[in-house]
Amino acid sequence: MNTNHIIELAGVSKRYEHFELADVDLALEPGHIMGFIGPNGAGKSTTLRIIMGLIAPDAGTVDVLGRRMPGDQVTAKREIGFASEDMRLYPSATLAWHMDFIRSIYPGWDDPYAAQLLKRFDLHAEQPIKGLSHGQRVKAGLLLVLARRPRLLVLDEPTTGLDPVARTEILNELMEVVLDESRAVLFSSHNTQDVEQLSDQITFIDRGRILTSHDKETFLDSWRRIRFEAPDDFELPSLPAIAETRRSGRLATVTTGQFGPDVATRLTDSGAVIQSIENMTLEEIFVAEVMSSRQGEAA
Amino acid sequence: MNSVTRTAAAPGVSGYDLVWPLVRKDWSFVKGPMLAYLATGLLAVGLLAVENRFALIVGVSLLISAIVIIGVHFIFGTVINERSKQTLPFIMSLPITYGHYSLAKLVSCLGGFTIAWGLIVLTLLAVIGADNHLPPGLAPYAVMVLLELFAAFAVTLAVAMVFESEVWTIVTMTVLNVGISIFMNVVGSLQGVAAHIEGPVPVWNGTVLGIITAELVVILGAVAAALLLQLRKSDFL
Repeated sequence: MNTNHIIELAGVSKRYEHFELADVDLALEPGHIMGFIGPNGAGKSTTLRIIMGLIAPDAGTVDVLGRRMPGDQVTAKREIGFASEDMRLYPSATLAWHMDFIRSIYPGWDDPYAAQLLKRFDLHAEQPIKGLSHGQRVKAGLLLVLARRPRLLVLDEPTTGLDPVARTEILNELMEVVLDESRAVLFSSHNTQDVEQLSDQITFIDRGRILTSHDKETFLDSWRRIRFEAPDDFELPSLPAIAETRRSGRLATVTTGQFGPDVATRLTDSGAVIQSIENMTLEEIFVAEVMSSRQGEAA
Repeated sequence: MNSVTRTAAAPGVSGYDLVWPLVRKDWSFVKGPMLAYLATGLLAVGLLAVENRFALIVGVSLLISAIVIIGVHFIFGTVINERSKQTLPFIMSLPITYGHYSLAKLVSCLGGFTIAWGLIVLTLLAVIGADNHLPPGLAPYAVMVLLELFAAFAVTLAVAMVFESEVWTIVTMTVLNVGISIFMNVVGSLQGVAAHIEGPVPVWNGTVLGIITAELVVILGAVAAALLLQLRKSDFL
């Protein structure tokens, strides 16, 4: 176990009848926010629940905050804040009731911070949960998690279904969490915009397998889409990490995940006339990674 | 780079410390209806004391209904709703294991039911023992019937906890509740019971004690099975 990792998964597998999480390795250090991106059914929630000790893996090891999960989950969960998209609060109880309940369990509950969050999120403590909108319910859940001052936040699709204002409020609050460098956030999403805005570490998952995991800058720096004009007898040279090639008449496009100056040189040497080298958004990179991986599996 | 300090185990704090807050939480959500059902049950016992055939029929029906509905409300209000209303992830995010969660459910449901059931049974036995038209010999029969209701509750609770299925819980509850009238008729017609029901003293003979023992075995077996099967589960959400 690496003592620098707040989360460390090694060779984690979990098999269900119609789905398998296979050989997952994942590591998160303090002071970082990791965005965990994958299509629906990719295995994001299963992975996060394994991290929380709520699902026991069939194989592999899971260490969170220096504790082996799921065996040591009681101790580890004292310092983890977990919220998931399918998590609901008690509809007939008020937010104040929930705050009292959580305060009675977590000695580190921060009352002034909770009051601040109530104000920032525009919530009313005495309002029953059933009277809150979806966005208010998500914010209420997050308040209950944040005011415990956990060292690790594990959030499963925290921004799903939120309007842009609520999403921004939540993302801003999460960014403040890691100003304290001993804390970390792992959050799953299929909204790449949120991940791009918030994360400094990004992991892609698809069909139960981790595709890749890097810091955000590495992703954004290494992916390019190159548009060029190709002569009739053009043959694509050997290029690294080609995710996609398209050709329509004389116009062609190549998408690569390992862009460097030599890529453009090789294309030019093969007779291509480069028209543009475009940066890609995280969403485009994600789609390219997934499609490339699936084509590799099909081949 | 920061080094991660191992989460310290707070002295004297374990998942068991959260069992009581979870029980209190469950009770706080059901206490209003429970008090109403309990009052209904006690009212039903009061009706039994009235020397009137109609009051007796209404009293018996109301008494059985009150106990059944107390059980139903505990099981649905605390066990089934936790999953169907998706509050289980919120609870399981707390520093507890599924074992602690299951223990809390058993304590809140069994404890709450036992208090309500116990009050009704004691009141009924007091009424039977008092100087009125109800024969004291009725007491063993009443205890057997009320224990059957407890056993039906315990089995339904075990099914609800282990299978976590609304459908299976309803099926079990329906079958067991249909069985109440069969039980009352069959047990009431047994020689060792029928001969003493209207007697001047309660008779706790072998037949009665045998049935009570069987009922207690069912109750304890259901509770033990629920707890053991819950502890064997590895995936909770």
